[in-house]
Amino acid sequence: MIFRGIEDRDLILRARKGDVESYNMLVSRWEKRVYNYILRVVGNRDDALDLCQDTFLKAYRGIAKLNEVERFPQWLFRIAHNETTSMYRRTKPVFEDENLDQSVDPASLPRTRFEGTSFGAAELGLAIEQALERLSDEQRQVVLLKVYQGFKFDEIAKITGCPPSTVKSRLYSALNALQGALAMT
Amino acid sequence: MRDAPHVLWDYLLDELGPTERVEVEEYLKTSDAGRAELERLRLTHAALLHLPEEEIPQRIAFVSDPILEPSPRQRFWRGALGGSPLLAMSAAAAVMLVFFAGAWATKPTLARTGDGWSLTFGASAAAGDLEEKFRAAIIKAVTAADARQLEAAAALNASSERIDREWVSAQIAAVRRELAEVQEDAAIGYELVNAKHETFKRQVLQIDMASLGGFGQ
Repeated sequence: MIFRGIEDRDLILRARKGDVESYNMLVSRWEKRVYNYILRVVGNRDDALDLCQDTFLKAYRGIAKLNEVERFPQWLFRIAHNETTSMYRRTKPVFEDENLDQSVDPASLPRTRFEGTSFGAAELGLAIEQALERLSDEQRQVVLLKVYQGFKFDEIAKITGCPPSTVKSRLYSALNALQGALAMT
Repeated sequence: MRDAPHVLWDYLLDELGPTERVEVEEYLKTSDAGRAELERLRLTHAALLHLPEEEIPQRIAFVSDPILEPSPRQRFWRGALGGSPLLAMSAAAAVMLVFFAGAWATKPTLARTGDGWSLTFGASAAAGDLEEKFRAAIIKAVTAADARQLEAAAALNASSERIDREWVSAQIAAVRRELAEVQEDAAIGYELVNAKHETFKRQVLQIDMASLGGFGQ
């Protein structure tokens, strides 16, 4: 087993003093997670890479102001979330925003049955990708932050800037939709 | 149970407090439907975790602080000496300074001559001398500015190369450390496997011996 010799906390403290190599090490630990989160939100690799770079650049500029070092993951994902939202505001047609928060009817999603041996991992991954894409942006963000990044409800609320009750309702409706789409039996 | 599916999701996603967890566990002990629902949620959650993660197509790295973010003092001097527009302005300012200083030192005088007025700059203020002084001042100012720019560029290059070397060395050292840890883990694993293998061999031998003994009887 390989243990991390230096904890994130140490790297953050060094980066706050201007140690760029420590920050680069921190970036190397988090870039894949942040990139995948943004990629699943925006659905485009080029945009995801640009936004990921912007996120880490903003984080670098602001890391000296990060008072609670333990909250680095939430802080970083909040920057990523804001970057993603800003891009949406710049590029998405206004009329699409009206439907952002509506829940998805599971019946409208493609139904995919998977039971052990009959459904391969690649097919399952593809089915989940498609099901996620059918969710609203807000629902997808909450699912990504909860299921794939493991944040708590109150942390997701701070990242997305909405109340915990909204986070919960978005998550439950999204999970319900995903469950329907994946046709669990 | 009130709002059971959401509570079960909260239970599964570790969002309940200790008391609520106990309540849910008590409920699950007595409810077949609850257990079945939890199992469905667990399957959905497990399925969602099959979403593949992609590698980032291009690693993100930042260059060292001294280049991008110099100290305020460095920023002042670099700004004052480095940029092309500022370079031209500083050269012009130097020329003006020399001109006015020269004019002041040579004490211009206005005198009436036979056919009009004449402006003279002291005893050595012939037009040729003044032009020569201008030329010399311009050459001197531009040469000095060029030298400073070259010096700044060389310092920047040297700094960049040093940082690249340090970064590469740090990366190599980190990889070596990880490799050493892997080798250590592998060695431990190898010893464990060997020990297991020896134990297994002994057990097989004992079984063989026992079966031979039984056969002999």
